[in-house]
Amino acid sequence: MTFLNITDELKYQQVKFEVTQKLQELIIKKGYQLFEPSFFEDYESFVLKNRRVKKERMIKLFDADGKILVLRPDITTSLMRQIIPRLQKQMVLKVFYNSTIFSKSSSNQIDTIRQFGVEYIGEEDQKADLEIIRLTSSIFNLFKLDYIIEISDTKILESILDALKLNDQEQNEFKDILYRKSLYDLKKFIEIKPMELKMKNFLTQLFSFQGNMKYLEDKLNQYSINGQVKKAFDDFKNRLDAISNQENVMIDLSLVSTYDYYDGILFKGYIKGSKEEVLSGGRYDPLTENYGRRTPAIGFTLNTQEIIKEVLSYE
Amino acid sequence: MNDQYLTVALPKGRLGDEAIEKFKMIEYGDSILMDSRKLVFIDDEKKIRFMLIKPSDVMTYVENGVADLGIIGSDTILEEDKNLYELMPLDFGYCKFAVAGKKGEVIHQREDILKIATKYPNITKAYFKQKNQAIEVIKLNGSVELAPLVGLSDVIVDIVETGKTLKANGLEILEEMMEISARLISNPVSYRFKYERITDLMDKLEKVG
Repeated sequence: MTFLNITDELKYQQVKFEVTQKLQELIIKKGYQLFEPSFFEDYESFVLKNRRVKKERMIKLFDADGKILVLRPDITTSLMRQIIPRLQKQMVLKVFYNSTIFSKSSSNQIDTIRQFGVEYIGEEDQKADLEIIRLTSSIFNLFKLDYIIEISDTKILESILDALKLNDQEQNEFKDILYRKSLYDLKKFIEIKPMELKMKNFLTQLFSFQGNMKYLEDKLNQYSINGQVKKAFDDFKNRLDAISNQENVMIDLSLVSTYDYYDGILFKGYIKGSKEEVLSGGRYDPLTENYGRRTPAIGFTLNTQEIIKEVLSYE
Repeated sequence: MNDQYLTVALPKGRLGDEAIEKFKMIEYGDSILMDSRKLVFIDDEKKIRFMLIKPSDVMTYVENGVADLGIIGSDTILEEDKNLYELMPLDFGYCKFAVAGKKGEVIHQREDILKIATKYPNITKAYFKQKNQAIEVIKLNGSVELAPLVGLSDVIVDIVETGKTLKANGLEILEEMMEISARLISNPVSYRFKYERITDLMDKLEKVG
């Protein structure tokens, strides 16, 4: 953020410091440890393994031996690289980070972006999912923010895609339609793609499968959907039963992520006054395979800048 | 983003007029006075606010959260890449995208580069990417039909409604691309926080067709 007035700037820095401190205190109290990522990543191996950042946006430099390095473009992947290979079996790690990443802006400048994230590694049981979701609520409550958390499970969408037997291109097209919540394109897609009538009926209504777990369950029962989809939903329901009817939590079966390595619950957090989601995360076990043995992992990133902006606007 | 109120950005012009008609049909448009020069209309009873905006700015208002909903043609949505939800098609504003030019102009498998004048460079590029024809796009802001007549381009890509403008300038449709119609758009935050109100409005709009 830029300010014309020095008093405003100092006020911002103060609020930023207080927000960060409060946030860190909360996270540490919940049992998470601070992780400081390394500044540089090896360009070639990073590009090879990473599925999160476009290589054109990475800031590249040479080290003394002429090897290409990049200024850390993403902390989760940095964390994966540093932790996964050294993780022992049965080890559980709860870490958080609050650091900057570097990216090329649209005007070819170097952008420094603050990234705050939490990762719960090594626990596949639902208790990790529940803890992480509760943590997001705690964070929003800490700053008295008006918030909503959207949740879904990638396995539900996967079971639908399986039943439709879509090829890769069709899958991407379908996910894009869901991402834009475009009813028109969804109807067109359903018209063109041959499928069972009951699947047609169910899919046409996909965007209205939003609400709490009870509502969704009742609604699903009105449609005779295929067994696999029902099972995926039931598993999801059992896994998140404890928080499923919480206020501020909204299940949205049409929720999709831009990243293909999420496998399990998926969630986004919104606050009033922001232009887009301020929090985004999910279970990403598949990503860990790029760095070593597949490990259960769930986490999220939080846009602290937006939180700071909201807090500033109260004062 | 005003809490209690639903704010709708309407495009000035024909599209907006048709949108207003729809809102009046569902009894949400009572506050809108057709012959007024006012740009904002507020209905305190229905808790809805309408803003009349330049069509090319509707998406900006919705994207920034100043408007919860917007009405805009699907051509504008396709041309700009914004993080917005395209909630539903509205039964008006129908027209089509087409490649147009002088009769007999070849647009595929030419040996030279096809020069296309258009207000929609992104849509044009995306369309021809799949067609295996090398193109050069010349972006114009208006009177696109003039371009092939004065040699600025070989053909044009533009929205066609009746086709009268094309005909009057000695041009014709060489290839139809896709259908366009009006859409109701929203931003992810408004959608999430005002989900019930928005879906309720969508249901009402759907019922009147």
